[in-house]
Amino acid sequence: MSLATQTIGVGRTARGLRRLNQVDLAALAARLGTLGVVAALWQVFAGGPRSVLPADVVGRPSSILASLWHLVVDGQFFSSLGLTALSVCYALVLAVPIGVGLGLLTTIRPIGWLLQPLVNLTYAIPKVGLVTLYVLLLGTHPDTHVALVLSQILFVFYYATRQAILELDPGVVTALRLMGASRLKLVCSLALRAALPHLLAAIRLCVPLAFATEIFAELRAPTSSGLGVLLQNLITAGDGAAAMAIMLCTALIGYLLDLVIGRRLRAYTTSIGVGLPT
Amino acid sequence: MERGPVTAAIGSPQAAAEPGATPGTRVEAALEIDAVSFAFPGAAPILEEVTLRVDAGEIVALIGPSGCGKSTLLNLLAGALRPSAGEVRCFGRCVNGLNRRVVYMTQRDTLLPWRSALDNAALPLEIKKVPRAERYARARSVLELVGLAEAERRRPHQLSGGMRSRLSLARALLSDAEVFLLDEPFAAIDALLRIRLQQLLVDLWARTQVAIVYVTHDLNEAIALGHRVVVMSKGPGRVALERAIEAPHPRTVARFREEPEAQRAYSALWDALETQLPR
Repeated sequence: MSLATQTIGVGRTARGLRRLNQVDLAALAARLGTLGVVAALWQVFAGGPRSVLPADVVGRPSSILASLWHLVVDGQFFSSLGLTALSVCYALVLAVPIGVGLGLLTTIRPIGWLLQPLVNLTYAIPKVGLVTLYVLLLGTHPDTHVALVLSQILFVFYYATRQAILELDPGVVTALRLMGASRLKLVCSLALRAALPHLLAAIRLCVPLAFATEIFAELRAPTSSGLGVLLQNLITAGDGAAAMAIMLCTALIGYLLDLVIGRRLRAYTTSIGVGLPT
Repeated sequence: MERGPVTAAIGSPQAAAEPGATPGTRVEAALEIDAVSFAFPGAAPILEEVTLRVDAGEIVALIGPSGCGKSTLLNLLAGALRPSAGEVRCFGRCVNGLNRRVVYMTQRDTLLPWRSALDNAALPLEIKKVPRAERYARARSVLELVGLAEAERRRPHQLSGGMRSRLSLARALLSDAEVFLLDEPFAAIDALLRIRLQQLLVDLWARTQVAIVYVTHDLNEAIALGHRVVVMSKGPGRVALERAIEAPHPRTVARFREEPEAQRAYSALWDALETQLPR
């Protein structure tokens, strides 16, 4: 490629980025505007003379912000968030190797023949029903929460890994085997790398799911702290605005994590040419 | 004889490849296909009683109508399939399971998208546990040989079709295989670039002297590349005709079709091929 062509290319890219930024900014402004309108309508129609929404249950945006401020200032919010996030992290750290390992194992024919129906059967069990079983087994303990979250998200990694391996190009597998690649080398150099976009997508899917399951577990088997416990305490105290603040913050955290992981996923898939025109 | 630009860049080919070397004088068989038949269970036979010999250092071009079993034959040679009857031997040993003395290149490349060109080329050496510094040094020299030195950091999706083919060739060269099985490796590439890649292949062959089984749909390509051209009959595939191309190797691919021998071979092979094509 000549220097002139490259310069023209760079110029076009820069103009494209500027246009993209304008589009992004317009989209952001539109989204914030919509949120502002929803918040204003909520403020008007929750409580007061034109009440449509029960203010004692859903709160009003102004009281939600005030409650959140109090929770942040007295440290309750972040300490609870920290404990909930810690349980979610433990569950994720366990779910990835177990799910990936199971996914790899079940592609070995005799093991798959034996294990796959069992895994599929376990997947079909409604996980929320397991909370009582885990309380009986592990007691009312953060481990119970981790176990429940693990049961919920493990299968996402299992199926993601399995799918990635099923999608492997047999030509590539044969090429590597002809080069002398061992089974271990095939797993490390091919299967796991090919599974990476699927696993990143699985993490993206699992993080909000794990938070929701953890909060559910904390509500059903409350320990000393955690976002679910805090939520339960606030509901019991009849503080609807503060409870709503916790729920909205949880949603916001989920949204931000999805944004960050989604960007990483896109960056990775773009770097290996997935989804690009060939 | 005129040489292609790559030949000029990489120096003289080995003595055996100099004009005058005749494949008929070689004694060692790289591949022997002995009365091989193949059918998938419950399906019609794809290959029937195919007998063929490929000498070490020989290029055999396989041509035939679609569905005549050319790719199946390559899969049998690679050991990816087992014959229903007959035997495949590689350097005298029966092929039973994957044949690790061959490298197999298909039309769709098998490069790993997350690896750079250098890492893709070095993969066979990595599998053989060659120390990192040595494998990169060897991979770089082969990338230079195929004209990809500047692109060593690029990933496959950042390379053009021709560059990807050259990278696949580089990887094949580093696999140290004694037989190359090439299944229409340049079919998806435009005509002009295809000629350059064919020349590159001939030049690389001149250096390495590997045996090559080259499947193609293009008769001119088969004649320009092959010491011998084998025409396969429509399904079930059999060897319909074998024709030696009586011209020294390495050839200048772009000009070879003007040679009288190429024209005579074209005429004879076309007559055989035409009867195999669907009406």
